Amino acid sequence: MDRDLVVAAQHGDQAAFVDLVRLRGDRLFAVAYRILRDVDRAEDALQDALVIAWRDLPSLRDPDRFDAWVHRLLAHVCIADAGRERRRIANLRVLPPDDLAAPDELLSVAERDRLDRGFRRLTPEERTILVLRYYLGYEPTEIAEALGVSAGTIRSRLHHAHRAMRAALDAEARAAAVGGTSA
Amino acid sequence: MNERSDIDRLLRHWIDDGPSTMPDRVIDVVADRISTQRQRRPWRQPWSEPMNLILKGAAAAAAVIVLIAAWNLMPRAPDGAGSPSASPGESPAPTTAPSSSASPSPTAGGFACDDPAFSCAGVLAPGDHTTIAFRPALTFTVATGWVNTLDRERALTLHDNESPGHFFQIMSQVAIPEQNEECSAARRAGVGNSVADWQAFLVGHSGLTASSPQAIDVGGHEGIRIDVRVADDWTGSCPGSLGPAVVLITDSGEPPSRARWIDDQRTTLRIVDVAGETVILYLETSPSPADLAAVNAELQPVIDTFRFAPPG
Repeated sequence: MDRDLVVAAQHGDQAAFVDLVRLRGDRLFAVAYRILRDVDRAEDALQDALVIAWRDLPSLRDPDRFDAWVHRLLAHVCIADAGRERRRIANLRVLPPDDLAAPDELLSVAERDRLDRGFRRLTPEERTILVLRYYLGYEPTEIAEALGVSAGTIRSRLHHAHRAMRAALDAEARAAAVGGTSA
Repeated sequence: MNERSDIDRLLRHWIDDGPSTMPDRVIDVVADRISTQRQRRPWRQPWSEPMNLILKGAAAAAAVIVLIAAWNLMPRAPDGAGSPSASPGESPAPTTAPSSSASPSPTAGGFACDDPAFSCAGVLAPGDHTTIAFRPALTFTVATGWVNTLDRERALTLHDNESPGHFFQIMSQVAIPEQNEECSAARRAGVGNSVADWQAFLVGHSGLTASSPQAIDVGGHEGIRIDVRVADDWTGSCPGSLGPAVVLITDSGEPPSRARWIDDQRTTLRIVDVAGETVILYLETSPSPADLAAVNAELQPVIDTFRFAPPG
């Protein structure tokens, strides 16, 4: 059924494409938000990615690959946006979003704060890799396909991102222990 | 091991958290934006080819004929009652669209001719085919599933009906372009049109990242193959392009009327000297290098069957 929608949209059926957006939108928005950590920018990125998807949909060779294809488009749009934003706010102090301050049985507010800070220090590509890995459950080979780089590169960047997040947790914990901050 | 599992668990939990519902307004905005955004048919765009004067004249003449017919069929108001007007509920006057040339307008496989003003063969039967309008005349062989959507004097379009994710066109009467802000058709002054001239243009273009030219033979005619994409540091763009864009080809007409540009696509150009006429086999695919390689592999067996008739 979804394949029929994709094929119809490939042939210019706007209503079919809007139906696809309804079906896939939540998941895509969630991915965009998790890469960009900002609702408004995630919304803008999703809109841009979907318009590009509509424009280029006739070039999709296998309609069954629609999900992977649109995730790839979205990832590239988010990486571009995050790169611009990263340059713009490089010197600004980052505050944790309000919606992450809720009590949690696994993560303390302080840990969330540290993870958020650590995540924002990663490159846009590393953020995207973490989201594809931990939110969508992609394997490194699938991430490699989505981002157009080798699986080896993905494993290397995943390892680096992993270490950076670990270091962010540890460093900020140490800084907190001696009464400092590393904003 | 435990540390690794801990951080994995923390990361997964942290990333899982957060909004997971798309705001409703996204659908409205996207629906609105796609209503004005044409889809990019890989076998048609980006391709700027304004109607020529003859076509414009024919369209204008057809419009006049339709207006006259409509006028004659309209019910007349009594003499002296002012301008004629159709009464409510009445059918509008018939408006027959001007018929084009002898275009078969095939729809098999969901494809029509790219341009209704020019013929095409549509879905091709397996076997040999010779172009009708394209010059120099070309004979080629295809297996099942190939489609011809344009056959005019200076352009022939072929694609695999099963995987239309690319644009493949054979072009003659080509010329090296000069890029302007509108990316409209304009020739570069002071350059020739030989295969060597094209090689110098493509390899030396600061807006392109080009592969090393590779010598090829198409139907006994020598040429080169070059793969190109827009360079990472290029900033020029074209109206409607997705970011930076480079005009690759214009035509030798007076004045030139077509300009082909690329933005994020990967492109293979096979530039061949057919008895003194430069012919370009133009392939455009998605930004993926793997896609370009795959489509080139699909096309090569067909290209290997190309036989050009001597120009003229």
